[in-house]
Amino acid sequence: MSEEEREQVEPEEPIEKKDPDLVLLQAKIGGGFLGATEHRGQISAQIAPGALLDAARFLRDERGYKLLSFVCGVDCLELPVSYRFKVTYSLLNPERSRRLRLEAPCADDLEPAMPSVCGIWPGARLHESEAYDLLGITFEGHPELERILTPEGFEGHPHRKDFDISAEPVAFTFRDTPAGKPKAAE
Amino acid sequence: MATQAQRTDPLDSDMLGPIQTETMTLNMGPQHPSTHGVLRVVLELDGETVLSCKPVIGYLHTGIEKNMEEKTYNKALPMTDRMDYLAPMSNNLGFVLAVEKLLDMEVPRRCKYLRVLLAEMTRLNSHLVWLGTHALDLGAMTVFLYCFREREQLLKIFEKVSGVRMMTSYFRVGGVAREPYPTFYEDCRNFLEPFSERVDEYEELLTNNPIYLRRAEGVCAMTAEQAYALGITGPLLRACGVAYDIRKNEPYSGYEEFDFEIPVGERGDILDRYLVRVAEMRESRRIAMQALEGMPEGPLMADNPKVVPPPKEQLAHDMEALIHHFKIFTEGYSVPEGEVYQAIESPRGELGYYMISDGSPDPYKVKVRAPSFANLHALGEITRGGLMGDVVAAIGSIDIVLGEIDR
Repeated sequence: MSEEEREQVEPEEPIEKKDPDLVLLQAKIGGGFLGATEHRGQISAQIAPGALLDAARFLRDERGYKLLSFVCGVDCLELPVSYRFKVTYSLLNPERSRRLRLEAPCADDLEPAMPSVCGIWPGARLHESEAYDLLGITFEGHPELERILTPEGFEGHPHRKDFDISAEPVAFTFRDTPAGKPKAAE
Repeated sequence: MATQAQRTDPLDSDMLGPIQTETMTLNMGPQHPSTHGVLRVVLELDGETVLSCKPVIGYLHTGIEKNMEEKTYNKALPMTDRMDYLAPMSNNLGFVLAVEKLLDMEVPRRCKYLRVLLAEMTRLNSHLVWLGTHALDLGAMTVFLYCFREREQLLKIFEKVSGVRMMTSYFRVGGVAREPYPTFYEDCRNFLEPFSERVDEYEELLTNNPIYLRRAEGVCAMTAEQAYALGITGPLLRACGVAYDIRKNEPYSGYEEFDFEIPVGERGDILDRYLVRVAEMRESRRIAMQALEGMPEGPLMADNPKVVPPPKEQLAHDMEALIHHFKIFTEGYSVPEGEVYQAIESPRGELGYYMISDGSPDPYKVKVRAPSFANLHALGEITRGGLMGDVVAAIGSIDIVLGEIDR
């Protein structure tokens, strides 16, 4: 296709003006709606953290997104975006077999936080605990935020891109542990 | 000071002391055989009544998702088997479909049919293990032996087709690992044709068995609204009367070409979960038979030399094929930037791969939406207020695999 031909192609209507759910969501939360993208037929909407709970309640009660499929924290350290962490919510409307992804960027890069959606979908409890455990994102209003996958006393958040996975001290014998260190040769 | 209840108790005397009214915390697992792996459950009991039940997970966490970020797509694939080790081919299927979606790639129709055939046989395999162990938990030992007799036949077919009994890694991006062996279809037919009589046998042992019914009917029930709120999918959701099945509602891998029913329950109790899964085994057999009968002719692998390794005989005389082969196995293939989520209906429910690609040959982020992880939520809900003895039945009826919960 030459340069001229390409210009003649009608610019496609952006997804946030075409999709009824997104149009209504925009009308509901206004400035909290940061944009939407479509990739391989899947829609994701970017939502400001402050508008997340309103958007979630609206989508569940009025648009039939009754089921929260998963919550996933993403460390965007190596992606070309302005924020460090985002949280993805995958919603399902079982009656219409429609899926919608919400993405909310965390405002603070050092201490990422997000309002908890446990009050809207109680099933988010374990998913949010997982994101807290693996990425260190705090969910405000979560009934029982705790480490669920890593062992007790574990330090750091392993799914962060800057988590050091190169080496870990391994004690092969009791003598290698601090308690079993032999005294200096007498 | 003695209360009214203590004073009227005929057994109350100085010897017995006052009645114990505080609750007891009981730890079950992580090595308990009925927890189907290394699940730990902390129960708060008032006598025999369960006040709360909290699953504690993480004993099998191996960082599979993090590991995948460091590997090429082809090298990440074998790790998917290790998650849900009872349904390895379903996990393979979800992974390869997600990568194919990122690549915007179609596989030939024959490949789709072969994948459906094997995925449905995997479902049979998984449901057989579930049925056997669930019945064993409730004291019916014979069912276990019957189920494992059939499972052995399935594992033999898997071994012959992929080289491994359990960790198959048979599906690959753009196709499958290799052509099935010459008598593969015959073996499948020999297994599938008499299989519905086998299901009759299991049903004879359990469906009308009064001992089983006493443990299952009306026990640990759940409503559809509860299931939605907790994000529960698969046979648990269908047992509540919701006909949601990703194979029907969002068809993938050519499922729209097959004719099958979605079995649903009414009450959402343990019995309904059992009936739904047994009916699903019959439907899976039906789908597998259709795939077998209608297996199309034509190529098995997608025509994409950058992603699909060339046939081995080409390597000896085709320079280009040799280069592609070398590139695929050393640096992998670049996947266009983007985010996708691919959900499939695994034997346990919605199994999804949420994948972010930054354009390099390694995935930037992989999140596995494991059905058992979400379904485990149900345990606390359905056991509350019930009897302690039903906790074992409830864990069995949810059908969890700890490998995919902890990942």
